[in-house]
Amino acid sequence: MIFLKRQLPLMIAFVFGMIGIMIGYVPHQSMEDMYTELVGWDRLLAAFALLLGMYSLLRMHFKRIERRDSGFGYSIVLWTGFLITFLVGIYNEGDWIFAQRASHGMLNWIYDYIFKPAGATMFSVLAFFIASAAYRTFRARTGSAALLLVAALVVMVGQVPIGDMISPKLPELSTWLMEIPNAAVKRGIFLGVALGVVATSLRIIFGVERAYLGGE
Amino acid sequence: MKEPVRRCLNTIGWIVVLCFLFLPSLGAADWVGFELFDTPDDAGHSLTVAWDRQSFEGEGVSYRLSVAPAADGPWKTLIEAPCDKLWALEYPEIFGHPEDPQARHAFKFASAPPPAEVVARLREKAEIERVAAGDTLQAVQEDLRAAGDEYTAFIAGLTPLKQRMDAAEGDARLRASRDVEAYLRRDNQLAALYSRHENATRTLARLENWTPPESTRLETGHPYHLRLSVIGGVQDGLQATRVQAPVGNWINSNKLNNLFIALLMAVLILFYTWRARKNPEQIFVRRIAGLEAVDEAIGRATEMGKPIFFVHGLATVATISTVAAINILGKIAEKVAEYGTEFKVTNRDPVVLAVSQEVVKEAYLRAGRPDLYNEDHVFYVSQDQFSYATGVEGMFLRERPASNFFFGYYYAEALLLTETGSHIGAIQIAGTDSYTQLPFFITTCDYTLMGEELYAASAYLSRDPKLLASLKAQDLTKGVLIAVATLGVLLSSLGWMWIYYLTESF
Repeated sequence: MIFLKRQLPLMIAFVFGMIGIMIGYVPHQSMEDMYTELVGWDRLLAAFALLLGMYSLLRMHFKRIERRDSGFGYSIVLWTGFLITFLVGIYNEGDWIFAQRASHGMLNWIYDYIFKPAGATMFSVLAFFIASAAYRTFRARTGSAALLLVAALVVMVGQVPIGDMISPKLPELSTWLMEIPNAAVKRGIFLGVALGVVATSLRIIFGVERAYLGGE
Repeated sequence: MKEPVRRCLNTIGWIVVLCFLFLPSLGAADWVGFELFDTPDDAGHSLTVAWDRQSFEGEGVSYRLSVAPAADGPWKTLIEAPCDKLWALEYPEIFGHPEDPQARHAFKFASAPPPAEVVARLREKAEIERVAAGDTLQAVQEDLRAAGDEYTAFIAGLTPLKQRMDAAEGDARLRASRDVEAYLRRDNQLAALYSRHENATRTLARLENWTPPESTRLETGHPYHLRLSVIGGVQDGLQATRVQAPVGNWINSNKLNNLFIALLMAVLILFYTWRARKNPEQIFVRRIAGLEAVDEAIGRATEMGKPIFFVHGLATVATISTVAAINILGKIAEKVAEYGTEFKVTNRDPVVLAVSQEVVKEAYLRAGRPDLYNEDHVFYVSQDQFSYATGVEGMFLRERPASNFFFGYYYAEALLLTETGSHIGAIQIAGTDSYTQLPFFITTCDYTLMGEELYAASAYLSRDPKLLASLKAQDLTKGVLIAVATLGVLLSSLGWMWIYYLTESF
C-alpha cells in the first residue's frame, strides 16, 4: 500500500519530469511525438476529472438543500440551472446526444443571453472595484504612498492625449517610468519566479518535495 | 624556326593559356561559399541556405531562391529579394554574431512543394474523407426527402434572405446576417437539416476537386533541391543548385547555457539535500511576514468561530504555481485541523480539486483529527473565470469568513475576490507569481507573498531541513545569475559582448 501511495507516484513524477526536461532540450521528431501523446493523455485525464468536479459541486449543493442550510435557495437555483442546461443539451433540438450539437436553439440561447451577459457584468463590476482599491492605495499617508500616487498620475496622464497637451515631457516621463524602473522591478520578480519554478520542479522530480502527495 | 614566327606562336600560346584560366570565371562564375545545410538544433523540419557576398553584387541585382522536392520539380519560389537583404546576422542562433554583418547571406525555410510520397499519402487521406462525405450527403438527402414540401417551403423563405445578405456590405450585411439567423432559429429541425446539407455539399465539392497543396512542411530525411539565381546585373541568370535533406537533432545546442544553469541548480539541490539529511542543522531563512501571519489568521478565525477560505487560482495542476499552492494548502490544513476550525477550499480546476481533497484529508489525518475532515468542504465551483469569482464572492458575503488565503496564479478575478474579502473584514494572505495581479493583492490583502516567496512558502512553513536546503541552492544559483548579469552589464558597456552572447537565449 505504501508503494502505491508513496513510491509509485514519486517514480511517475521522476520519469515524466525527466521526459518533460528532455522534450525541452531534444529537438527530435520522436520527442515531438511524445509531447503530442502526453498532451492527449492530459486531455483525457481532464475530461474524467471534470466529471469528478461536477459530482463534487452537485453533491455539496444537494446536501445543503437536504439539510436546509442557510442560503439553500441558491443551491436550488444551481440545481435548477444545471438540470435545465443538462436536459436542453441532451435534447439537442430533437436530435438527442448522438447527433452533432445543434448550432441554434435553447442551449445557445442560454449561453448567449444568460451566461455571457452574466460574465460580462462581473467583468464590468471590476471597474468599480479598481476605483475603490485605487482610492485606498493612493491616499498619500506615507512617503512611499505619495510617491506611488505621483508615479501613477504621471503614467496615467502620460498615456492620454491631454498629457501631451499639458507638457510634451509627460508622455516621455511616463514611458521612462514604464520602461526603466518598472521593467527593472518586473525583471527582478521574473528572475525570482523563474528560479522558484525550476527549484520547485526539481524538488518534485527528485522527490524532495512531497507535500503535493498529501505526505510530509 | 625563324624568330618572328617563334614569338608569334609564343604569344598565341600565352593567349590560349590565359583564356583557359580566365574565361570560365568571366562566363560562368561559380558561387563563393554557397551551401545548403540542415538547420541545426531543430526537429528536422527546416533547411538553411547560405552564400558569401558576391563580387558582382550592386545596384539592381536581386537573388531568387527556389525549392523543389526532386531535380525535375515542381519548383516553387521561396523568396526574391535585393542583394542588400537576406543577411546571416538575422539568424544569430545559426551563424552567431559575425564581425562583418554583410559578409554572408542566409535564408532559413521550413516549407516546400510536397514530395511524391507525401502527395500520395494526402491523396489517400482525401479519398477516404471523400467517401465518408459522400455517405453523409446521401444520408442527408434521405432526410431531405422525408422532410419533403416542408423543407422546400423553408428554403423558399430562406433563399431571398441569403441573397440579400450576399449582396450587402458592411453594416447592412451584418443586419441581413441577423435576419438569416433569426429565420434559422424559427425551425431548428429544418435549420439543422439545412446546415448539414450545406456542410456535406461543401465538403464533398472540396474533396472531389482535391489538388495537392502548393507547399507543406519539410519532410525529415527527404532530400530537397534548392536553386539560387541572380536577377539583374552582369551575371543575370546565373544559378546553382544544392541538395540536402533535413534531419532531427538530439540536442539543442542553443539551449546549452540554459541546461547548464538547470544542471547547476539540480546538483546544488541534491548536494544541499544530501548534506541536510546527514546533518539536519537549522538553516537560516529570512522572515516572511505573510507566512508568519498564517498562525495569526487561523487563530483569529478560531476565536471568532468563523470559517477559513483557501482560494485556488485559475491555473491547472500543470502550472508550478498551482503545485506550490497545493504544497502550502497541506501545511495550512494541518494547522487548521489542530485548531478545529471550519476550513473551505474552492477549486476552479477538477484535477486540482481531486489533488486538494487528498492533500487536505492527509493533513487532517496527520493532525490526528480525521473526524473533522469534510469532503464537501473542498469543492469545485466553476471552470469559467467569472462564474468562479461570483461563486466565491457569494460565499464570502454569506459565510463571512474571518481569514482568506489566496495562492496560485490569478487573472482579472483577483481584485473581485480580494476586494470582497477586504470588504467583509477578513484577514487576507495572498501569494502569486502573476505580476500583473500583484498590485491588486498588495492593495487589498494584509500580506502578500511576491513571486519566489510563493515557492519558498512550503519549505518555510514545514521547516523541513531538506526543503530549506533546496532554498539555499536556489539562492546560490540566483547569486551566480546576478553576478553574471552584473558582469555582463559592465563588459557590454565596455564593448565586450561575449558574455551577452554566451547567455543569449533563442
